[in-house]
Amino acid sequence: MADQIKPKEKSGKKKESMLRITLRRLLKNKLAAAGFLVFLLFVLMAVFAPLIAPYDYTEQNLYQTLAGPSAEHLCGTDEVGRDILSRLIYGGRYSLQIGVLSVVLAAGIGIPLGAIAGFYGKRMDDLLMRLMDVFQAIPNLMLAIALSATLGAGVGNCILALGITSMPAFARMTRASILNIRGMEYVEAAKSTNSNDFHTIVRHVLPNAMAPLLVQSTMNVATAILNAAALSFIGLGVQPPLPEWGAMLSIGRTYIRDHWHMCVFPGLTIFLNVMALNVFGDGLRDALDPRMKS
Amino acid sequence: MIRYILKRLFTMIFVLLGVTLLIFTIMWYCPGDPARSLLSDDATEEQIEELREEMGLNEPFFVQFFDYVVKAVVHHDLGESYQTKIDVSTEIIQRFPNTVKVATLAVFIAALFGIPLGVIAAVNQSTWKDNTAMAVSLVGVSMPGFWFGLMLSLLFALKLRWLPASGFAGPKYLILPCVAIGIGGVGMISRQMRSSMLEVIRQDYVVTARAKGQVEWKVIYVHAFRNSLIPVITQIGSMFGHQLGGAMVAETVFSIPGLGTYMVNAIKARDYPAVRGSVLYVALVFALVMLAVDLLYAFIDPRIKAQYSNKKKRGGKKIG
Repeated sequence: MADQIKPKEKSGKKKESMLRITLRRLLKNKLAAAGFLVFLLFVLMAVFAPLIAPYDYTEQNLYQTLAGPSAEHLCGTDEVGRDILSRLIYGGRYSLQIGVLSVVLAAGIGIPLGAIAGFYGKRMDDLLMRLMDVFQAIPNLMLAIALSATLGAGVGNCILALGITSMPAFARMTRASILNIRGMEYVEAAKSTNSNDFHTIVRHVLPNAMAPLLVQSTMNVATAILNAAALSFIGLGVQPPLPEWGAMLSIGRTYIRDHWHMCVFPGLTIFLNVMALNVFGDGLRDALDPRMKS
Repeated sequence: MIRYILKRLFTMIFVLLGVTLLIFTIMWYCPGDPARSLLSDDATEEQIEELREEMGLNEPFFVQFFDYVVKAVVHHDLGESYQTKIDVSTEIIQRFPNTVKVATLAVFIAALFGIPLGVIAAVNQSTWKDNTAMAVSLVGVSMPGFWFGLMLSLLFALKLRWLPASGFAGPKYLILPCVAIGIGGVGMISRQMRSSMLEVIRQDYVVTARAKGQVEWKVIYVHAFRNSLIPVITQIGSMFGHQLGGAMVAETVFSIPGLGTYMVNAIKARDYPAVRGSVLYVALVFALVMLAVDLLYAFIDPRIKAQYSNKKKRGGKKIG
């Protein structure tokens, strides 16, 4: 009797969704959770900058230029007496925006291209992948610099340049995932029910290819923040007086000999953000890895 | 094998042609008029127009593109720099060895520290050694290279005065830039080495080696290490290729007269031939480096070599 009930109990148990499993595993991974919290903290600070920042990022105090860290100015002041901490808090609005939106753009173009290449294969695959070869034959930063020179400086153009640059990576990864999936029974089943290609890709194929793409997106936000800082550092990204972290470093470099705080704090902020995203990305990869399923 | 190399070289031609078209298109839409910027402010419209005509800037896009490709392929002529009036290929060839030196040493530093770090982490999985090694690699991966370069130069050049802050006059000038660029590589290589090693030490032949009573260091270094190197070598090759064009910011920080500084200055001065030439040159070298890495596989992994020879015996047409 008991034997007969057992399978019934088993089948009656509610199946845990993948999202729930992933979240549970992520929360178990303390380092990944800490990474996410640090990044979230930076995002919240950027969003609520006017409430948190002790000063306005444009407020100048010409009596206190290039002052070192003190109780009044925790990270010191810059060459025109602006509070560096406030500028770093406001700067998150630009750096994080570029990081996130450039990845959204890259994924928005790269994923459909990769899906088409992987799903249809043959000539379409060849054509699109050779196109990606061309983009990937040029080192990312070099291509981003060339694009920025054409598009001009500014937040929007920086997003566009970095988005286009990282698009091929998304296309390739989507294609690779879809190549593994397209022969699966559920895809064949969808096709046999006369589901059109668009519906099959969007409803059945892409959701099953999302795990590596999510990890890639997280890591790419970190890379985009680094590249945006590099672009601004050489004068091709966001321009001063906007408090983008790379642009702040670029100005700080001129004063590095006697005023170290102008370089140290913006760099540390970039480093902390990138590290938080990398830690979170690692945790997400582990949480989404089917081999980790207990 | 030769068939494979020829096929890759043939594909490379099309990729490079695509790169040329891409960079030509990007530069075509660059704002500003090179003729106007080359002449002094008091130049008349006629003089500007005359120079535009002389430089071929009035020709349609595809005529200019075709002309550029023919000159580059037939005469190895990448044009003349607007800024210096020197042949772009001559300038690139003069500067490229400096970039190669920096990239080689940076990748060497990355491999020198990254590989042992990855091995230690994998062999001592889930212990404090693993955690420490991975923490170090995480710091390396997350560090902005140009900021680390600035910090190194602040400490070792400006405060302690042990090393020069900028320039390129001898081996000691290489230390700070190479460490700054190499730190990111240490992180990437150690992570790759760890995961590759973890995969290999679970293989049957490693279990067999242990079952035979082989001492642990021999199991790790003779059986596991060599086989786990293959993905790491790809990464080192790709890293080297990227450094050739991607170390531009670090080159700028340390005022290294390499290809990166050349391109950054060219972009700021809207010197299109110099930008096009640099990108094309880097793409060519990058493609050749990746081909060399692929070929290196065959020498490291006998299975890949066997794959080539089997295909040849079977008269297979497709490899790769």
